[in-house]
Amino acid sequence: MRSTTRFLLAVALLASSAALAQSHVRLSYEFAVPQGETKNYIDRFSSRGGHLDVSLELTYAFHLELSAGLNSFNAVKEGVLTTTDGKDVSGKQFRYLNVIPLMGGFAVHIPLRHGGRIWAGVNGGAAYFDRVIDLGLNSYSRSDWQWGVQPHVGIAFGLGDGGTALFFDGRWQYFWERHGIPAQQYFSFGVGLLFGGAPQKRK
Amino acid sequence: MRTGALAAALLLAACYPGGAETVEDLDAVTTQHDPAASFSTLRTYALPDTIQEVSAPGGQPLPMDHSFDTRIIARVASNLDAIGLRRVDPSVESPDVNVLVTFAATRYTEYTSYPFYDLWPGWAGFGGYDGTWGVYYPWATGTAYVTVIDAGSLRIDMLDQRTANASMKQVTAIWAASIDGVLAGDKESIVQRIEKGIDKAFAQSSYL
Repeated sequence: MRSTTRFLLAVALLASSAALAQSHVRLSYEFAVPQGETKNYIDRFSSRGGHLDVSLELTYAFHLELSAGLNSFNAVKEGVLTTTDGKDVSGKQFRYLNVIPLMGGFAVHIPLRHGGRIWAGVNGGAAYFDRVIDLGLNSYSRSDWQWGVQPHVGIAFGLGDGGTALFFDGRWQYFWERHGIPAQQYFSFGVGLLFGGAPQKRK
Repeated sequence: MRTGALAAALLLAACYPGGAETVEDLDAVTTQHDPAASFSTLRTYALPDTIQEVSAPGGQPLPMDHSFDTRIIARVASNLDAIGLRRVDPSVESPDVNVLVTFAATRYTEYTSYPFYDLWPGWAGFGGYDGTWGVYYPWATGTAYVTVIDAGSLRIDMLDQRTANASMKQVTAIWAASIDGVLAGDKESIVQRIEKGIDKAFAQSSYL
């Protein structure tokens, strides 16, 4: 009985070390292009954003993904803003949108030569949308969480044997209507570094 | 390579509108109306020849230069004429609406307390003082950073004379416009901004 327990523990440890060897962290700079209602609110691409992804290999090539990001948009718009209390306000509108998506999901990672890899997956979760319009000496804001999905693809190129790689990824971020705020969506494209993705050494 | 990346980052940052850059950027025109009001039945209006000075809540009232009253009143009248209303002398003919034009000029002085880290982000402090400490200015009201803004607001109220309640001494406003901005620059430029705001107020009120 005791030897069986030891054997099972040894197997578990070996399995977890193999899994951790494939698990990695990705840190990226990101720009984003608004679509749909998001574009109606802010018709300007964002060059300020970033993402932190933690990818944990569950079985060979199949990963659990945990993702957190920030995309900051801003733009100037002329026009009439109708407020919730029935006022029509015109003037130069300085519009700001900060989105903080917090997601989890799964992805398939296919190893390439020289420490590279490609992957595709889908995350689900929510994002905090913080909208602010500065108009004249007043500021109007509306913030809330919205549920959403985040299909994503990426490709990484190894930078030596240490498991570090340069990667490029793309995401479509879609968030459903909630509390009267219409569905939001945007594409984001990232470039960054992948850490800890050492070439596979199966035991 | 590194220089190129830095230049690209600076270029992108420079392209972003970060907020108001001129006083005109802070101009705003707000209109409100009574959805139950029947604007299509309005035919006549009365309009005083002078602008009434009022004081805004809070702040220190500033004196107003009335030498531009005629010009501003004329701009309001031309917009009312353009929507098909006829100006009448209220001592001769009772108007459908009275249009009042008021102006408030106010100096807002704001004393804002701030911790060290707001002033110098990322600074670790000195001599045992950390970001939770503030600066006390004995000559100011409390721990403060002082901001002074001179703001002006021209208000146009359309009061329905037909539904005036004499017993309650109450007249209903069916439309109001507020042309708000920062009082900066020469008087001519301020008046031009006000005139532009008056035109905007009528333009964004298509129901009139």
